[in-house]
Order: sequence, then structure tokens, then C-alpha cells
Amino acid sequence: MTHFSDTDIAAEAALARDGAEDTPPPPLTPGQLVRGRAAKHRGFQLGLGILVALIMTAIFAPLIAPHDPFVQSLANRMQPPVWSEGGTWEYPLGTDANGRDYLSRLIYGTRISLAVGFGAATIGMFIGVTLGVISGYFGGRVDQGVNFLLTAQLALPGLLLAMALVFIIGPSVWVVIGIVGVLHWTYYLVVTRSATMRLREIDFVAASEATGATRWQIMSHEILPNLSNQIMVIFTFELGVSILAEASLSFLGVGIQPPNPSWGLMIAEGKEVMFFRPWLVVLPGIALFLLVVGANLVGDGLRDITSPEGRN
Amino acid sequence: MDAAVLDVDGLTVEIDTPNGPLRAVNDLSLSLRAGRSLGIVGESGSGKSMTALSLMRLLPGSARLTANHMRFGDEDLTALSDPDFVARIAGQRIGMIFQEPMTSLNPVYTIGRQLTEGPVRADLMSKAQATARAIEMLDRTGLPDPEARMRQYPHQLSGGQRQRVMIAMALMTRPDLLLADEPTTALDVTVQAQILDLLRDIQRDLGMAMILITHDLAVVADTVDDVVVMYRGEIVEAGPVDAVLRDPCHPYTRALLRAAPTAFGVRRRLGAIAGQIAPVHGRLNACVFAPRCPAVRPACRSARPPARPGTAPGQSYACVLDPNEVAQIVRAESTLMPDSVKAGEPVIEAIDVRRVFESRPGLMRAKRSIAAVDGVSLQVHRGETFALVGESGSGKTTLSRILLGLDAPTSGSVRIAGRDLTDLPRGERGRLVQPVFQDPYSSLNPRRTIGSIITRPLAIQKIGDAASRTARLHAVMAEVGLPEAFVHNYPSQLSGGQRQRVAIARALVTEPRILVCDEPTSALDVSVQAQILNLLTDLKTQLGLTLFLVTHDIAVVHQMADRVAVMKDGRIVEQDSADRVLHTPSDPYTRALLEAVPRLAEERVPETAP
Amino acid sequence: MTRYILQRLGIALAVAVALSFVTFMLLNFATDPAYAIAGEDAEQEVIEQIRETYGLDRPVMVRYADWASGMLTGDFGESYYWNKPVAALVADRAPVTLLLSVMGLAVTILIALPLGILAALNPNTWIDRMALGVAVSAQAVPNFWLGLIMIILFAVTFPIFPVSGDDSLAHFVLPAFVLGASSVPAVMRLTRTGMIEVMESDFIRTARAKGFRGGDLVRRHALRNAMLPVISVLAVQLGHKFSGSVITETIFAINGLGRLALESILGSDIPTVQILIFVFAMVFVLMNLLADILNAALDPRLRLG
Repeated sequence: MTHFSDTDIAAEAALARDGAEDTPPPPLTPGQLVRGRAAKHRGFQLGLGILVALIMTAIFAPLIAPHDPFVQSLANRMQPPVWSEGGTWEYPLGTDANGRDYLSRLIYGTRISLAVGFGAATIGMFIGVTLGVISGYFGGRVDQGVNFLLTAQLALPGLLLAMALVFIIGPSVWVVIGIVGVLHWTYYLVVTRSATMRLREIDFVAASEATGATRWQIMSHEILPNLSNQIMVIFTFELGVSILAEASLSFLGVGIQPPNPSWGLMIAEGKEVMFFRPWLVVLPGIALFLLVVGANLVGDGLRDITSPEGRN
Repeated sequence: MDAAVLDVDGLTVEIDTPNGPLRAVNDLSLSLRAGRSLGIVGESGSGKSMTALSLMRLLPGSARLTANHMRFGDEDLTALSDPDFVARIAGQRIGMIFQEPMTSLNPVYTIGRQLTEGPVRADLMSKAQATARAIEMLDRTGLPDPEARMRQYPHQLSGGQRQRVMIAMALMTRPDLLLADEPTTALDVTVQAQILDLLRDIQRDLGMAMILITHDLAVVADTVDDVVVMYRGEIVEAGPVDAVLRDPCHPYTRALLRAAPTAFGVRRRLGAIAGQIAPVHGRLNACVFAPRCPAVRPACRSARPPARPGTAPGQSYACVLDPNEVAQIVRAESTLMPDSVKAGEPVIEAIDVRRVFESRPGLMRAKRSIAAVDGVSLQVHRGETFALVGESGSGKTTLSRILLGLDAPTSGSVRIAGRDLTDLPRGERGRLVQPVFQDPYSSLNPRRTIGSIITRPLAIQKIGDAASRTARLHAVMAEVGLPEAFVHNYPSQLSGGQRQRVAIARALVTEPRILVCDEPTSALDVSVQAQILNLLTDLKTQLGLTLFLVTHDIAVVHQMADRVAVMKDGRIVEQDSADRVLHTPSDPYTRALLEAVPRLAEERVPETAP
Repeated sequence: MTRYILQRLGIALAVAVALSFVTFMLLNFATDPAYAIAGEDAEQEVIEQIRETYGLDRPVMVRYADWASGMLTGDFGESYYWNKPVAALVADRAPVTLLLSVMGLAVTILIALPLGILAALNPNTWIDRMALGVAVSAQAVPNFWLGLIMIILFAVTFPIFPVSGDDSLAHFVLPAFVLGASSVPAVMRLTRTGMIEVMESDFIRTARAKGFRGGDLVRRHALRNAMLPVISVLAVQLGHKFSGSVITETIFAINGLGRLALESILGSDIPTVQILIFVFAMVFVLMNLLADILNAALDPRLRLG
């Protein structure tokens, strides 16, 4: 006869329900934890504020912009901004060499930057995460192959290659999005691959395998959800990187073409007269800086507030 | 207390956490005479390591230390400035060794440099003197060829060898006090025995004082003179080690001894301590053990019980009850008779299983092959608990992974319930065999709720609909003793023991016939281990399960197993009934393994009070 | 050690071969070089003639083999645009870019390493926050814009440095700063996290138990471990500096490889662009190899395997 009783089990269950007198309040769910930390993270809030404001600006550009960004007016060339001598509220940030309202062009410029940023970061994400999860999960030959691809991609001079390809294929927003995206997947790959390798060895994956889950089920149900935080963080950084890449290409004349109001292109146009009309260079640069700082602050914040807690 | 090397009074350590200050050590007092050794025993969260770190000023930055006094020889450590402490005490008069020998040495410098730099920097010795002393100490710790070791790097040594290097390093300056924080926890049992012997011998030879910190009562039994038992930051009992282990006065010490399985003697049901260890936030005006104490009185919840003398000279404990009252309430459970093993039909049959791993160290190097499992044959019968015992690298985990279908044998065959594993579709295999893993922190997907984790096997195998799955979920949670309220919680909100119950519930949800448990309690505290081992025993009887238990712990084998196989270097060296193997081992390795197991004094557990 | 290096060398060679192929094919399929030379509006006859003259009528694999074997003998082909051997063009412009890149890397190291180490040793203090602020800003500043602002500030408003050109070392100060600044965030963050990780490791606790504290602890026990990953990244960044020179050299009118690259692209000079992309990639591969060797020298686990 085996002696057994349920007393210890029942007692523990009772304790877990009622809690002992000095037990702290029940620990928070992961979601509550993240929300709680987000509410305390100033940098994250600032970045999110900037990003949301600029996205709104892009969406409602026609409503906000005081003028048509493409209409030239030779009579109003090189108007100074309102705070300089001779500036008027008609053109709060002055006009460019073709007499176009600079504020309106800056407002429409958010559309190009955000389109390229989100588009390219998404393309890079699909390439990088797919390769990363597959190579991390299967390892061996697959991993060696992907690793070779990675080394080759890292070695290629990205900006130069993008310049050459955009120039040859023909510059347009879509080409810029495609090429910048196709060239920016390595960060996703490196992070998701090592994370997948680590996760693959963790027992909950083995438990799932032992119940009969297929590889596909394991990758989608066990591994990917555990990568989502890291992917979000990288996405925000790549958002900034892609926006800057577009600006660089356009600045060098092999990206977005005139008369489109790309911030990089506007800096290039303003460069000719920068010693006399410095705001034409300074203002689009500040716009770029704000947008990318916003994205990076969100990225840094996400990393902080989603980082896993130590084991007690 | 003549010639006290160490005299600590009122040591309190608080750590800032997001939930407010956590009291890791509360009002702790202890003293240690020259040449004596003291064990500090406690489960996780007892504050035992924090106590050691306080003495060495290694507390994390978020910790605050206060004390009435901390006298070390002729110095008062509380009054000593940091530069003075570093210049005169740390690494010179107090040496310390740690739990993780694999990571405690700097990987980029030679052993020799790491041994000699301390005393040379402190101008205690010249470079040549230090080198000579280092070689002497390496030799003393039993490392063969010490001169050659000096030029080696840590990664070229095994874990046991690295721990010997750590000991030699701590002894370079002949310290007055050696702090050893769980020095053998990460090591195999045979190596653990050697290191414990070494520590005890060196401590006696050099006449230094030693503090040994451990979670394992059996480890202190044969190694130290005195012991203090800590729980939630406080000392609950102290005294000569024999007295404390033989006649514990505090309910916690008593309960802890009842909860620990023993490797020898009569098998009895483990006395699990209900509940779990909760951290102490702020000041606690109650007995630390009150929430889990079976003998709790109203007075225990309103004031800290004062320390009082115990039954033996030098013994003291902090409880309102008399020792005999405690003994009456916290009694040993009745004897657990081994099931008369109904030799059912074989449900696991392994025939000459080999698993060879091939690795290619470099593109241009020849392949190396290692047989992790090297021709293993075994049979496990329906309804029995079969234990596979071995040290790290023995191949026991590889074999268990093969049984679970997580790995495939290179040659040989495995039959589960009469069917060859290779012919078994993975869904069916999943309904026959299910795993319970060692680490309850990593065996549950942190992004899923408890309900979703437990019912996931049903979803994968497309069993039932939403309603039937929910019904099954509630049934299986009740079976393993999990409150229903946990359904929507995440793993991070549960304690280690609760998580292990979730893992067991997930394994049981498809009603498998066999549970493969790979070190199911190694990551748990003793009191929680007892809960899980009892649960597994009960489930086995209730559900007619077959348990395949993989473990390194002889005590767990003794507690659980009907039959046992001992594995070494990929082969099974001995396989028979647990009784026979544990009492009259025939293989020399089995004998060595059994001899290495640390024993509680005479393997006595507190008997039922008269 | 030798085995390890040979293995790395093998991988580097394989990458080089793969890259030469990719570079050649990418630019060959993206455009018809004959049109690039003759212009979009050229007549069919002219195109045919150009194809024959430059051997463009041969199968693409033959042309690749020709191009690759030419490179092995130092024949980098002929520039359509500059009407000079590409090898001569590259040799002419390389020293300037090399100087600029090395100076840029020096700027990165001088700013990023001290800042990263200080931030790691004083986590959550004003130093840490300042370092993070520098990283976030430097990451968000468009490099070409920073260049222009530097010119406006330090060459025009406060004429300390020359506006453009490459005649003296003073000409390189502003470009090197701009080029170096772009790598500061990545290197700083890596140094910081690497250092924090090392400082929390078990062997640092051991060293502390031996009585090492403060600067002594960092210098003798933490630095080498923390620098291992940084070395790899510095090599990668030096590779990036070569291609980053496109922007800096354009802004500061420095006659290096970067400017040559932009001019060749705008002039549809495919042979020169191909070679430049390949040269930049090889610089990166070489730097990576160097980093591997350095890592092996500093890390006994790699050296002794």
C-alpha cells in the first residue's frame, strides 16, 4: 500500500489563492510590466510623440501646408524666414530658389521620408527575419550558406551599390524603397539568427517537438513570438537608417529627383547658396534629425521596456 | 568566544527593487573562532550568499548594509574605508571561492598570472616568490603537473580543475578566513566529494577559519564544525552541526530535513513544506517561517521570536515553541513501502542504441566523432519508475531525448509500447511519451498564458474542441494542484514549483503512458522538490504512469526508483532493481558514485516523537 | 592559430570570388554597357560597333572570366569616361581616401571608446545619459548635412579650417571628423554594453575578491575581454569609412576614391564603378580578416581552440 495524501498540494493551492499575509501583490503580466515601464520612460514617450506628430503631418499634409509645394514663383525667390529681416508670415520658413514655399515643401517631405523609411525597413525585415529564423533553426549547411551571404552583403559598400543601382535602374520613390530595403537586412538577420539559435535549445521548444509539433508550428508558434520585441526594436532603427539612406542618395543626385520635395534633395539644392541662405540647408537637416531621433528614441525605449527581467 | 576571527552583530542588507526595498539579510549575528568552520545553510532567498558577499564587500550597487559591528580579527569592518579594506583585507586576510568555476576565471589570461597577480600587486611577495607559492598551492590542491598548469588558460581545464585553481588562488596569501559560496553546486557528485574533502583538509591543515555556504544539508554534515540555518534573511537555528542535524529544534530545520530525500536508509514519503518562499519587503514583525509553519501560533505573526537555547550545548533557535512541541507537530511521515513491482509488459525497449555526434572543428580538419550513447540496451516495464543515473557527459540526457523523439539513434532501435519509434507518427508518439524538463524557467514559453501552454498539445494534435479542451485543462490543473485562477497568468508570474506543475500538467494533458523526466527537481529548492517528487509519486499511482527518470541525484533515485540503470561514458555499467544497486553495487563506478554522495550524520532523520 | 587563420583566409577568398561575380553580374544585367557608353539615343549601328570594340558581344560568363583574370594580373580594364586604365585611376586616388579613412577611424576611437567605457563604469549617471545622448544624436544626424554645417561653422563663420580640397593635413580635419562621427554611435554602444557585461561577469567578481577595484580592475581584468567584440566592429567600421568617403569627399571636394565613384556613376562609367565596388568590398574583407587575426591573438580560446 502506498501512502499518499493531498494535504501538501491542497495547502499550497490555498496559499497561492489567498496569499500569505506578507506576500507582495501578485506579479504583473508581461503586458502590464511593459505598459508600466513605458509610462515611466521619458525618452520613449518623447520619441513616440515626435514620430506620431510627423506621421500625422505626412497624412494630413494637404490640410496643413499653407501653399502648393510645387508651384514656382519667380517673384518670390529666396524669401527669408519670418524671423529674419524681410521675412513675412506669408512664407513662415521663406522660399527656395524657385520661389516655392519652404514650409510646404518640408511638410510634404515627411511623406517621402516616411514612405521610404517604412517601406525599406519592412522589406529588410522580411528578408532578414526569414533568413535569420531559418538559418538559426536549421543550423548546419543552411546556416553556413546564410552566413556566407551575410559576409558578402556586409562587405559590399551599401551606399555606393545603392547609388549605382538607383542610377542605372532609374530613380523613383519605388526604386529607392526597393533598393534601400534589399540592402538593409543584415541587422535583422544577425539578431534573429542568434536569438533563434538560443531559443531552439530552450526546453519549451523541445516540449513542443515532443508533442508532435511540426517545424513550421515551432517556428511560428514558439520562436517568432519570442522574437517580436527584438524585431520591433530593429525596425525602428532601420526606419531611421533607411530615411537617412534615402536622404543621402537624393543629396548626391541619385535618389528622389526634382521637383519632388525630398529633404536630402532640398539640402543639395540649398547647398549652392548655403553661405548666404543657410536656412535652406539647416531646416531640412533639422527635420531629418527630428524624425530619425524620434525613431531611435522609440527603438531605445522599446529595448529598455521590453528587456526580459532577470529570474527573480 | 576567545580569539574570534569574525564577530558579526546585527548585519542587515537591503536591496532596492522595483517592488520596494527587499530585506535580504535581517539582524544577523554570528561569530567564528580561528580554525573553526561554519556552514551557512538555506534555500534560495535565504540571504546566505548576501551574507558572504557583505563580508567581502561585493554586494551589488543597489544594496545597503548596516551592522552594529563586524569585527574581523583586530579590525572593525564597518569602520574601515574601502581603500583600506582593499589594501589590507580583501584577497589577503579573507579569500573567497564561488559557485561557477567555469566562468569565475578570466578566460584571456593564464592560470599563472591570475594566481600571482593578487599578492604581487599587494607587495606581499615578489614575482618569483608568488610563482613558487602558486605552484605549491596548485600542488596542494591536487592538480597534477602544476608547473604546466601555470601556463595554461582556464578553457583548457575541467570544472573540477578550475575549482581547484580557485581554491589555490584564495589560499595564495594564507588568509585567516576562507569564504566558500556553494563551491560544489556546479560540479558532479564524485568531484564534489573530492573538493569538499580538499576544503576540509586544507582548512584544518592551515588552521584557518572557513565559512561554507550551501543549500545542501548533507554537504555541511561532514565538512564543517558548526552550522547556521537561514530562512528569508534570518538565522532560525544555529549550533554544532551534529546537534542541529540530529535534533533540530526549529520547525523549519525539522521540516527541511523531512523534505530532503536521502540516499540511504528507509524510504519514506517526503514531508513537503506547503507554500513557497516569499521575499521580505521592508521590516517584518513576525516569524519569517510563520506563513509556512505547520505549528504556527497567533503570537508568531505579531512578533519576531527571540533566539533561545536548544537541546544541545551551543545550539540555539528562534521559535516560541519548545523543542519537544516542535517535534510532535513536525513529524516524520510514515514509511513508504516500495511498490511490489508488478512486472507489467515492457513499454520502453532500447536495443543496442548508439548515438554518434560528428563535429568538424574546422573546415580543413578531419571529422571527430563522439559516441554520446554507446550501445545501450534497456527495458522499462509498465507502471514502474525507472531511473537513469549518471554524471554530466554520461549520455543520459541524449538517451532521454531519443526516447522523446527529439533525437534519433545512429544505430540500434527503440520500441515504445511495442512499436518501433521510427514507425511512430509524431502525433502518436506525443500521446505515448511526454517530457518534464529540469528548468521550469525555460520549459514554458514566456509569451503564452498558462492555459494556452497546457492545452497546446491538444491543439497540435487537433484533439477535441474548445469546450472539451477547457474541461480537460481544468481537470489536469486540479490533478497537479494548480489553482484554476492561473489560467490567464504568464509563466513569469509563477514560482519555480508552480511552473514545474504547469510543465507536468502540459505533459499529462494528452494522457500519455510514459513521462520522461529529465532532472525534474534539480533546479528547485529542497522544500519545493519534495512537493514535486510527492506529486509525481501520486500521479504515477493514480494514473498508472510509467516514469523514466533521468537524474544525477542518488537521493532522488532512492526516493523514487523501482529499477535503476547507471550510465557512464555512454554505456550502462549496471542495471537492476534500485534496492540491489543502491545497497550492493557490483560495478566499481557505481560504488564510487555511491561513496561520493554526501550523507547526513549517520543518515538519521528525525523520528516520530515518543 | 595557423589553422584558424588559414580557415579565415579561405572564407575571405571565397567571399572575394563571390563578390567579384555579384558585382560584375549586377551591374551588367542592370544596364547595357553599350548604351551606357554611347548614350540612350545612339543609333543601332553605333551600338553594334561599340559592342564589338569593347568585346561586349561575347557571352557574359566569358566576359566575367576575362574581367576576373584581368584583375588578377593587375589589369582593371579601361574607363570609358576618363579614358584611362582604371588601375591608374584607383592607384592615383587611393592614398587620399586611405588617409581620410584612417583619420576618421581615429576620430571614432577617440570619441567612442572613452565615452563607452566611462558610461559603462557609471551606469545611470549623467555621464551615461550624456553618452547615450551623443549616440542618439550622432545616429540621427545626416552625415552630409553635418559636413555642410561644419563648413558653415568652422570654415566660413569661424574660418579655422579650409573649406575644401586636399592639399594639407588641415584640409582633412573636418572631413575626418564628419566621417568618424558616423561610426561613433555603433562603437560607443558596443563598448558600453560589452563593458557592462564584463563588469557583471563572474571572473570580475573573482578579481574583486582578490582585492582589485577601480581603475586597476578595469585595466587588468575587464578591458581586454570587453575590447574583443569592439575590435571586430572597428574593422567593419573602417570598411564602412571607405564607402562613406563618397559623401565626405563630395562635400569637401577631396579627390579620392569616393568622389571618383560618384563621378563615374554620374558618367555611366560601369567598368570603374565595378572595380570601385569590388575594391571597397575587398578593403572590408581584408579588415575583417585582420580583426579575426587580432581576436585570435588576444583570445586564447580562439588561438588554442
